[in-house]
Amino acid sequence: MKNYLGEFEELVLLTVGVLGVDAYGVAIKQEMEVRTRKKPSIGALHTTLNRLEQKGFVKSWEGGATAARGGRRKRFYNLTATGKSVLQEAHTLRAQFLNDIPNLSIDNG
Amino acid sequence: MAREQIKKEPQPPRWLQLPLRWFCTPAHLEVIEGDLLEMYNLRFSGKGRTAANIGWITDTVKCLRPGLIRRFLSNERTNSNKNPMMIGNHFKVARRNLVKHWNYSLINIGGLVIGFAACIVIGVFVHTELSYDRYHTKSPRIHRLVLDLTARGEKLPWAIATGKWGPRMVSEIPGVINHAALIPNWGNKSLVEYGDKKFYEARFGWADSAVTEIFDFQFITTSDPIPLRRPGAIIISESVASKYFVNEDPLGKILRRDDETDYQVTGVFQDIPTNSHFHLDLIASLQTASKEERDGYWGYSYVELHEDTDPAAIDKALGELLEKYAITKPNTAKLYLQPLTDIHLHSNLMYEFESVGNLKTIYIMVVVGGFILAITCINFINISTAFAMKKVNEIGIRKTLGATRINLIVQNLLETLMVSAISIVAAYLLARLLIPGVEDITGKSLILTIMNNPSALLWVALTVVVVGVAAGAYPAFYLSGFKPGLAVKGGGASAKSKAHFRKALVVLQFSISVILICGALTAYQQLNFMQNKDLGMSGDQVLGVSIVYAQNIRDSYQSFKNEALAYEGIENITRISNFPMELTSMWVGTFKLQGASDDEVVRSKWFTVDHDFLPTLSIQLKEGRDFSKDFVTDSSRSVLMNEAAAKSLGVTNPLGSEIELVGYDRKMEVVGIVEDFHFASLHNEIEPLLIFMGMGDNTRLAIKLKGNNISGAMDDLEKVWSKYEPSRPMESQFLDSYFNEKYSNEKTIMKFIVVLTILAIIIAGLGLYGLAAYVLQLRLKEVGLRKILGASNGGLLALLTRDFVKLVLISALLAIPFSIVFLNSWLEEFPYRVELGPGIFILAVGLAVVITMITIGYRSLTVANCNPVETLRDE
Repeated sequence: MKNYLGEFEELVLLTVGVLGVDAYGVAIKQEMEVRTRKKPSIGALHTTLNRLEQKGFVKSWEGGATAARGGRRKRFYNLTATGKSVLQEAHTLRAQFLNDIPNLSIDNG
Repeated sequence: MAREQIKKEPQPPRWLQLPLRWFCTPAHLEVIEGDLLEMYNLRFSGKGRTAANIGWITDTVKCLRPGLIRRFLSNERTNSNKNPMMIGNHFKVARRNLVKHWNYSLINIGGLVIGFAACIVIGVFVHTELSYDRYHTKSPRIHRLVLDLTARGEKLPWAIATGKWGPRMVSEIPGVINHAALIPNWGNKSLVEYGDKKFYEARFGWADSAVTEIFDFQFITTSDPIPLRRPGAIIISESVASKYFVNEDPLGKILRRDDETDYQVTGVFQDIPTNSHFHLDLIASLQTASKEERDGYWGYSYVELHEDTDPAAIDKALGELLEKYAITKPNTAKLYLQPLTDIHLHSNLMYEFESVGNLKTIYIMVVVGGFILAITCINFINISTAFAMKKVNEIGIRKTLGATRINLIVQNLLETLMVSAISIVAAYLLARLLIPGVEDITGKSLILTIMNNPSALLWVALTVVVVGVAAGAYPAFYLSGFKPGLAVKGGGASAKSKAHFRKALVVLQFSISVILICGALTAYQQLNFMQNKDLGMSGDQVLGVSIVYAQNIRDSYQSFKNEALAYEGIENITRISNFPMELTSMWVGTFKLQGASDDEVVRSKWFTVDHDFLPTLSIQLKEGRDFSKDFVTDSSRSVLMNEAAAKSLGVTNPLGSEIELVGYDRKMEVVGIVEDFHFASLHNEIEPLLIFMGMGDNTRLAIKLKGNNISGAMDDLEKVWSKYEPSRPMESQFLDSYFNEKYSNEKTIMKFIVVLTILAIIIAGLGLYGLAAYVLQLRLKEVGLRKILGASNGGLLALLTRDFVKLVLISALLAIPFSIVFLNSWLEEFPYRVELGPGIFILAVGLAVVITMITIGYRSLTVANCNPVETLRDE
């Protein structure tokens, strides 16, 4: 399937979107912990981010070394247009499915 | 400027930073390292340095993902300057060598996996034994009150005391915070009812409410923070709860015990883990008992001490307490505290809750584990060395191209470390498969907790390194010393001169195997001996039934007996105080000849019985007569004694003499002497024994069946039983199997040793096979020449195997003295034991030779049968 998104990939992508220009490793990790109560490891996060970048869903640039990072630069990520549309597609697909489940009204929560 | 800033922030120690830098792809290293450092800082300020370091390690490990690990095995030429040791290349070559010589690799890794797995299983077993009672949060502060009774110069260490001491300690000895009494059901089974569900429960007990405060009970549900607070409350284990209450909330339900007492469930706790010295499924509140009643109860008393209290000081205070309250004569009793964690392995008192562990078993396990590890290592060294010979060409080339000695040593060590690491992972998986089998053997659930146990992980890592280095060091140093010219031409000459070292290793390996075989055979013989020894009595076709709670039968025993005996299949019935070998409820007391002084008493065990005791258990009368209904006074005035008792009295013929039981005001005439029989298990010498009638209410039945239709006879018996006890199903066990249960500890050791011996033999066999394959390879040409010159196949086979058999025989010679020492010290524990005859040793050596022949025979045969044209052609 083209533009397939795994569950974890989707969460990472969403978080990157939510964080806007501040999306880098630790920030993404913390945001995900707050929102999902899961604890992704930095390793898992970077593997996924690399993959998302290869697929063209995010773009990245380096910058912003701080003392807490031992002087190492951060890599910031941002959603690309493709990334946004993939998220939209995924959402639409799900909404359709949910609508078609009998006895489940998402409108009423 | 920037550098100064950096230094202020906390960082993990340098050696913790190295792994990530080493394996992470350069493209992502900076960013990931930065992220991890940031996390480190967050954790550092939140939870401190240790937590941050641990977090760093786990984060690093979690970065071990395909996308983030750099490519070690590719030609990263750009990297070679940074990496003069060519580690990547070494891994590549190691992998290629493993694959190319797959047969050696298989033998090598196979041996290692089996050896490691055996060691892991042993480690888990030993760890479980050592972890007894350590899981309680307060365990270092919990002690058990125990009692030394001194009777006539003999010390009797009891695990139990009366219930009154606990409260006294709390109120009168500073430092004692809390106490709880725990009273077991003394081997009886209680019938517990809920609705139409009825089960016999062996693990029923009573306890003070503080028991849940002192010990860690994991409650699944409770209706009260102190569930045993109220009278009539009971807490039950999860497994018992699921038995009685299906789809029901157990809380508040009423359980009825033995048709007399009702208890209300106030809590359900998770089953008590294996590594507890007591296991109870139902614990009823002691609050039901009145103060007088509970003061008189015999049970286990546990106290919780204040953190700063020295148990020795409490022991001293206990002495004073005893003096203050004691009714007994001074110096006859001594109360002292026993640390909770000592109960399982470091004490063996009378009236223990359950049979405790045996420190000797653990020593045996550790020694055997060490043996197996040694065999495994030797195997590994041997095969790695032989295997390294195949690489002399490679080493020559490397040297010519400028490799230093250090280079080569590192390369070899890396190879063996790699094999060792692969093996331990496989061994862990194998161990996981083996654990259920081991649990069957030991009857204990073991917990394989390597992954979440840092110290265990450290041990495992240490083993990998030690084994890897031990096995790699010799070939590494030895091979790296080759002269390049010689090595390229083929270092055959020097290869032979070093064979002595490997021969010595094989001898060591087989010595250990022979010791283990001797051990296994002896353990088997001893167990067999104990289970089949003539006990002087027979439990064959004798049913044992407890009638503690069968009140109707106790009340009208005589008519029950008569009705039962009317059936053809029931030969005899007797009523006794306790089954033979049921030592916990046996009477203990002293007696003396009438009129003798107090110094001449004899310590003895007593059976109180009913008529027909001797015939039911097939005990032989030596002199005099059995009890008989014709003598009315038998029920109060006659006594039988065993030969041991007669001997300790010190009179030539005690028959007809009067004896008195000390402290009971009872005088009896000796009417018969029975032959010594083993009323205790064979771990004990036969002690003086008195058998008499009419004291106390005997609560055990022994019923001898006869004929071929045993199940029919049992049905008949049950018919009579249910007539008297309609609400209590009969619970019975054949006494011979009951006797055999007394040897379960030996059975466990034996099974363990047999399995481990087989594993050791397999490992040693694998090593020998690998070595033989290599040596025979070297001799191919020799064999070819000999064949051309007219040697027969048989002659060649003898020639090729002779060396190995010689080695095995030398091993046997070395092993036998060690075995004798080891085994004698093990056997010493048993008063009744097998003699170490030559048979065992001959058998062990024979086995070793046969195994040698099987392992090397096939290889030798192939070599001897090969066509000389093929082996000689290339010259």
